[in-house]
Amino acid sequence: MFSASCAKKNIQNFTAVDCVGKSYWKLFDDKHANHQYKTEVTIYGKYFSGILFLKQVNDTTCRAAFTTVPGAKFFELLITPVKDSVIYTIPQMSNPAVVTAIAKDIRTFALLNKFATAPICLKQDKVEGEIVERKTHQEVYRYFYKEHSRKLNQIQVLSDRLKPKTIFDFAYATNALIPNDVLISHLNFKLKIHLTQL
Amino acid sequence: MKCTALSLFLLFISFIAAFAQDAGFKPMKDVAGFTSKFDAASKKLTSINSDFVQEKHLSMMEADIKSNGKFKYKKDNKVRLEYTSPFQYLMVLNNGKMYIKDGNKVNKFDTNSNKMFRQINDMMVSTLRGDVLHSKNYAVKYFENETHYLLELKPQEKAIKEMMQTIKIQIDKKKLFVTTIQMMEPSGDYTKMIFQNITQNAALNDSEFMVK
Repeated sequence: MFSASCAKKNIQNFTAVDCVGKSYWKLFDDKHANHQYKTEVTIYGKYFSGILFLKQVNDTTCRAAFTTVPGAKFFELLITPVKDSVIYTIPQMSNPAVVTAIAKDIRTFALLNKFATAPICLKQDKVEGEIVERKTHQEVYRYFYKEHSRKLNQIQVLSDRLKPKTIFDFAYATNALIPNDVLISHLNFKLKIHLTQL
Repeated sequence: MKCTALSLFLLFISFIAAFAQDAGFKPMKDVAGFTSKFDAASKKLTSINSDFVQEKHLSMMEADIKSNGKFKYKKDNKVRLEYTSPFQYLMVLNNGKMYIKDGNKVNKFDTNSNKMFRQINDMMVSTLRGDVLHSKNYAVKYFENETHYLLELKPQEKAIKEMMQTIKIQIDKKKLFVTTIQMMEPSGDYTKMIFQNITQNAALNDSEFMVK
C-alpha cells in the first residue's frame, strides 16, 4: 500500500488529481505469500507452458521459480527492486536477455519496481477508475485501478516518450484479492505470457 | 573417557549414514539376483496402465504441489503421461518423438535433436524396460527394505548432472514393478511420482500414443 500527493496539471490527455492519503492494493502481501500460476508462453509463434511459483519473501523481495508440468525446473530467481539474482537456470536457458526479460516482468507483476519519482494520480474521461503514474529513469508505469475495489485492472509500461512497451491485464475471481488471470503482452517483440492461478 | 567419546562419535557417524540413504533401506544383499529377476520381469513386460500422483517439492514453497493423472507404457518405447488434475496436460513419447498437448495446443519435439528431452525420454523408457541397470549414463546404487528395492541412479553426463543429482526408483519386491520415481535436483528440490492401481500386460491401443 502507498499514499501520495501531487500538484494538479495536464499530462498528455490525462489530468493530474489530488491523491493525498489514497492507498491502493498491493498484489501480494504477507497474508498471501505463496502463489502458483499455470503459465503459457508464446514467443515468436513458439509455445511452451509450465508452472510459475511466486513467493513474496518480504516487502521488497520476491522469489520465483518456473517448472514444466512434469516437474523439470527451468529457473529460480530472487528479485528485488534493484537486482535480479539467478539462483538456478537450466543450461538451455543461459541467454541472459531472456532471464532478464522474465525477471523484469515478474518485478512489475509483483509491484517491486524502484521508482525515481513520487506517484502522480491521473484521471481521464474515457477511463473509469483511478490511474497512478510512476517513473523510473527510462520508463513510465501506469497503474489502472478499479474505482471501488482499488484492485489493479492493468499496468502499462511505456517508454520515456510514452510509447507502450508492455501491458499487464488482470482479472479476478469474485471477492479475490489476487488476480486469477494475468495476460502480459509485449508490444515491441512477439512475447505473450498468460498466467492462470492454480 | 576416550572410549565413551569414540562410541559417541561412531554413534553419530552411523546416525548420519543412516539418514544419508532413505529411511528403512539398507544396501541390497543380492544385487546379481535382483538384476537377473528384474531383467527377466522386464522382458515379459509388454504394457503398464496406472494412475499416478506427482509431488513437486520446492524449498521456497511452504507445501508440496500435488498433481495426478494416468500413466501408460507400451513396449518398446511408447509412454503416455496424462495429467488430469489440477489441469489437463498430456505428454506422449513415441519412437523418438515427444508430443505435448496443453489445452488445444499440440507441440511436437524430436527427442534426438534436444538433449534434455532425449534424456527424459531415455530415463523413463529405460527404467521401465529395465535397461537402466545396464546404462552407461547412470551409476547405480542398490538398496532394499522388506517390501521394496531402491535404486539410486547418479547421472554421468555433465548437462544432466546440473539438472538432476540423483534419480531414486522404488520397485515392488513381489511384483517387480516400479512404484515410485523421485528426481532429486542439486538444490534439494525434487519431483516424486507415485504409481498406483498398476495393471501390467493389458492390451493398449497404439492410438493412445498418438496426439492430434
